[in-house]
Amino acid sequence: MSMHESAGRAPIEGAGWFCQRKPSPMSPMAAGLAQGEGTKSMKLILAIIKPFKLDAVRAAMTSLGVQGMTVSEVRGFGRQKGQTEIYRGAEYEVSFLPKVKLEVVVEDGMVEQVADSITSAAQTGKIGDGKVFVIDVEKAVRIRTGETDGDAL
Amino acid sequence: MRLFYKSLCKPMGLMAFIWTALLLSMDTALGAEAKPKLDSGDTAWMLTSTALVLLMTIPGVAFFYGGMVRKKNLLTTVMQSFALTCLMSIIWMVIGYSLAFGNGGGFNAFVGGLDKMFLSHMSTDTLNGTIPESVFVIFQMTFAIITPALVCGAFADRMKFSAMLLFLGAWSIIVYAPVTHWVWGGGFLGSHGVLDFAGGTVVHINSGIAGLVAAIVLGKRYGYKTENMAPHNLALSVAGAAFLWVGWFGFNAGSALAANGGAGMAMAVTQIATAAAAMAWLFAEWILRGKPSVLGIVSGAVAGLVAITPAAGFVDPMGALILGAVAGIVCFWASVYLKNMLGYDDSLDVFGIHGVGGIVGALLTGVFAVKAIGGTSGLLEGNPGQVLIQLEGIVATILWCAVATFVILKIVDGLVGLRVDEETEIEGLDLNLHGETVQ
Repeated sequence: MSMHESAGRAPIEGAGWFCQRKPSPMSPMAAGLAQGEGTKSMKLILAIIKPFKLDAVRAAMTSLGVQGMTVSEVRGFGRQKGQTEIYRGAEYEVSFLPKVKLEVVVEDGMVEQVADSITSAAQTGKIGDGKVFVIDVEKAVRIRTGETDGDAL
Repeated sequence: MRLFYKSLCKPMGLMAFIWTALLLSMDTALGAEAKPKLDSGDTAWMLTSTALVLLMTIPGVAFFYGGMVRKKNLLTTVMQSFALTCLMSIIWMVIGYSLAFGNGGGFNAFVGGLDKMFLSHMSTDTLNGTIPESVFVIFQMTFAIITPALVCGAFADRMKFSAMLLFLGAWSIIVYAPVTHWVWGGGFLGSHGVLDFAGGTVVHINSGIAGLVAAIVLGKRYGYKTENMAPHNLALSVAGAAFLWVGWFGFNAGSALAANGGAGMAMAVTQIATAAAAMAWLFAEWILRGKPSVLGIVSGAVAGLVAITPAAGFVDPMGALILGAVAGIVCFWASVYLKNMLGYDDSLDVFGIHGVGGIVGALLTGVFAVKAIGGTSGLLEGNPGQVLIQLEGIVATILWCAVATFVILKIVDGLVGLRVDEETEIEGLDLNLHGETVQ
């Protein structure tokens, strides 16, 4: 059986660049999830952006109604080459460039909006702008109240 | 009324004449005895200088070097400066001062004696010129402290703490104290006329050569030329360089051992030479490497400070300007090009800045010395022989220091091993040698 047959659903339109699949209804955990309160699928949007674009992205997300996010300072590279640092007689090719990693979990319906919004806010057109990834989230819990899934976001 | 005053004139004049004559004759009587008295101005300045020079090591050298190493070795690096401050204080008190400034009897051309061991000769009343002996001892102690602290930069990131203490402890007795005696303690270099105002040979050529030998004996750091060994915090190095610059006023102007015009001139030429060297390095780097760097400008400043050290009490501002500029360029070349050409890993350029800077400074002292300032003429005033005398001082110091350093290192290697193992070196010395880290 193919993945799609067992899932019994067609891919959602417009979501061409990432794959979406409902968990199989055959496993007990999946059954529990399927019966969970406010069951809408959630997605983790993970974005690597240039550090100076953080404020612009944050503003764009807030205006969409996104309630919170996690930000970390990371280093990395893609196609962007590093800089050469020179200390007296020593030259160092520094491949890892400072970037900011942004993580936000949103409900399915908002994923496209948010992803597009991040992309346009963080774009400069120059090499090293970064990437956006979307990842499935199985469960979410608000620690203070115990609310789960959609209510936890 | 006027008549009354007029009548007083002659007796008043006579009294004034007798009073002046009495004073002058008293002065002459005192002058004939020629016994220096405690001068509170000199003493106050020398007490201050001592504190300034101590600040050069802690935190000057500690920060200067600390900022240049990787974060995993920061504590090790500052520990070296601090521990040596403590160790050298004890050694100097026990035997160092005596070997440097004591009376060596038949061997006095080469080393002092044991007559001043444990500073037993010293009381609150003992004088050294116009200042208390205690002040002179501790002032010189701060020089004995900073010299080994400078050496540590050459073997940064790879030497065992125990080995470092043993090596530099022995070095201060076998190399530092005797060379000090040669130049300032009544030894042969001083009596041959070598001009070294504040320690170009004693401190800088000594530490530079010892550093070079140690760098070669210990070998290159693991990952040298392939790993990223960029300084982890140059702001810290700038802070260290600032402490060095300001403290150096105590180092150079304090070497006048008096609060007078000589000290003032020494301070002035120190400032001028340092600024000239810093700008020279800055521009050399800007032109040849493309960008003027922070590490470059502070290195240039230190190179200037090093080079003016032997010259501080002998040259005038113009000489200082040229001396500084030359030192900046030559030390830049030595640290950036010579080191890479010859392939040794002098991690923090102790030889490139202190060794080469000290040699350049000592030679140029022989060129720019002005009789009106320091009592001796240099090449520009028609005394080319002074350059040769300077060369004697340079060569003697290099030979003794290089050979003795090598032997001490080999002995310490046999006793405890000099270098940390590869795993420790890769993981970082802070955690492995001292059980501490900076987060």
